[in-house]
Amino acid sequence: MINSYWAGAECWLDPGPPRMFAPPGIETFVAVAGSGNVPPNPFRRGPSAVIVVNETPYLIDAGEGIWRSLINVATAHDGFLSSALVPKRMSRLFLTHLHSDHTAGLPSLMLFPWTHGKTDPLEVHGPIGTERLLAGLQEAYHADLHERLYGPEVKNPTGWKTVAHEILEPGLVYEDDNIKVEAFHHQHGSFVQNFGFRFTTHDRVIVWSGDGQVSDSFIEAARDADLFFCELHTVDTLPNAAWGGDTIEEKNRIIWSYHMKPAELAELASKANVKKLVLIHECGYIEPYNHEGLLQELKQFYDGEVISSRDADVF
Amino acid sequence: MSKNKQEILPSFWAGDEVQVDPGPPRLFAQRDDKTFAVVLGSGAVAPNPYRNGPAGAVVVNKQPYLIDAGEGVWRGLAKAGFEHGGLLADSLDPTKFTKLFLTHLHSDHTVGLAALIFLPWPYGRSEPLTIYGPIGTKRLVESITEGYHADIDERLHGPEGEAKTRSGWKTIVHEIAEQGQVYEDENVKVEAFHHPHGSFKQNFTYRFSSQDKTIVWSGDGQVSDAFFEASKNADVLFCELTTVDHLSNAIWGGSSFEQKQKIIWSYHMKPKELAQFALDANVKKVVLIHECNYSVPYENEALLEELKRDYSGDAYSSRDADVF
Repeated sequence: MINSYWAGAECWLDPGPPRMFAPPGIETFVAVAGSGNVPPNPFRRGPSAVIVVNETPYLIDAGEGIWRSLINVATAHDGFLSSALVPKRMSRLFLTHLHSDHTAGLPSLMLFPWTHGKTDPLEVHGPIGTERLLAGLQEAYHADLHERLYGPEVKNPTGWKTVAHEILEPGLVYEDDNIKVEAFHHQHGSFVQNFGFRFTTHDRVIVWSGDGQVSDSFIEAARDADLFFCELHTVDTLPNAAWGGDTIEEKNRIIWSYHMKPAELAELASKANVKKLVLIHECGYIEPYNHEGLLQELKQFYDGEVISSRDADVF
Repeated sequence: MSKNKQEILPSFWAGDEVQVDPGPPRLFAQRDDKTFAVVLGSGAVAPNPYRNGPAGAVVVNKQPYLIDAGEGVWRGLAKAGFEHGGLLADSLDPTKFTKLFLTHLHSDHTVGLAALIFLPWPYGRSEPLTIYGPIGTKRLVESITEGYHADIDERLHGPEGEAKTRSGWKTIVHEIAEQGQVYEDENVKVEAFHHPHGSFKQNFTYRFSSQDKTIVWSGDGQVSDAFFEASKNADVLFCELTTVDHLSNAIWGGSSFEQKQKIIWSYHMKPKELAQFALDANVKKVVLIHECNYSVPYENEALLEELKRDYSGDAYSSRDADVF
């Protein structure tokens, strides 16, 4: 192994195989499809997840590699999610915010299920700006669409389409027989909208954070959640961050405009009385690298149940 | 990346291949070579977690020249950088991801573009990404930039902005009007050759000539005279291939076997064709990429075996992060 690497040692250390945490009898499952964030970590694909209830997937964010990370989930744990995670059902997506690490996988989600027989459009719920993003991508991939629709292959005429549902303000954004979805905003850099989502099914409440800071409304949104998935950024090893400026003063100023500190998350999770906390999109830079370095930092402040997620973990 | 794998799921819609780890990456070059060719993504359309979507790089004097942008290319670049004892770690540095050549505009070769445009930027790329590709590449790249504008705005004008380079997200596009030489610098000369693939008017094979190697990276598609020209005497020919033996297992191309024959061979190459072609063109080494190997049960070298019935030269079935 090499000594130092621009993308960090996290990129070459396998965190280990995916785990099954769902209790027996539960009928709503949450899979972390991509547990990573910006760094090019082959073991942790870009941020994305899927909730499966009643054989129906509800996707959250579309980080790099999402097509592969969904199939990674589908084939894990003896394939118990493989009948839900079929291309024709990959048609509803909730976007937390418009940073590219959360949206770089959108072209894959727009196009590949269609090549595998999906006929429904992809319905995307997200911040204002989602429509512009989807319109840009439809325009961008026009040559592919044209070739597959009118070339020898002749794919179905509808499965490549997208429908944007822009979320104008926090509150109820979607409801069907399986699930109710509410969005709440919390601050992340200069984004006007950065959503966390609260998903309620018949047997579980699941809260998935945007990237970003704590707030009182965040505590309310996460109240009594069975599962709370949240991003976290290190305080202790912040000086090793590859972004946010050159000096520690700069990094402190910039990074905390975007992310949450361990002590803050501990307080949030306690006040909201969440049953289980799961870390996603982790920014930890301990040297020598240890996949549970950030988790250990959090545990200095939090003694509730908390797990550092990996790709294809199912809760 | 290995998985704690249980039995292969039978009749999984995406097939066996997406459940089988082909094994670790290999180094087929000498460590002190000046030129390397790296497979960043050995896969194709199938959602194979072990094989990124199509992508490669030719590295000359530590400068990478990227080829295609399949799904996962950003992570593929990092993996290739730290494998083999870090042989390519300082070559595959994000500040150097500045030149990209697109073979054709099928989505499996281009869905990774947003990642290549936007994700090296936070890691300090200060130059734009220059992209060579078929007519239509401008529309592709400009529309992506337009679509992702919210990310650009936030990173430029938000708190992070003061720590960012101003131009690292930008792109310059050169559309290739006709085949021939498309690029040259002190390291490498790059020529593009069109060969047929479905109904695309342009589908390029690229020939990279450096002081010590000639590397040819194919588009998807059929043999042709131009493809022959592109590949003559190549040290390494990276080429797609599709199975004849197991074609009936393909999950695309129609419902009947006759339909599949008609449709699939409008797009791809057969093992016998590649064998004859590689012999005639006097290629030194053939490396299979973008394999449509539909063997059941899946054997990751089944397609290579099909090729080897008619080809006795040096041939390989590639994996992600293989270096030649």
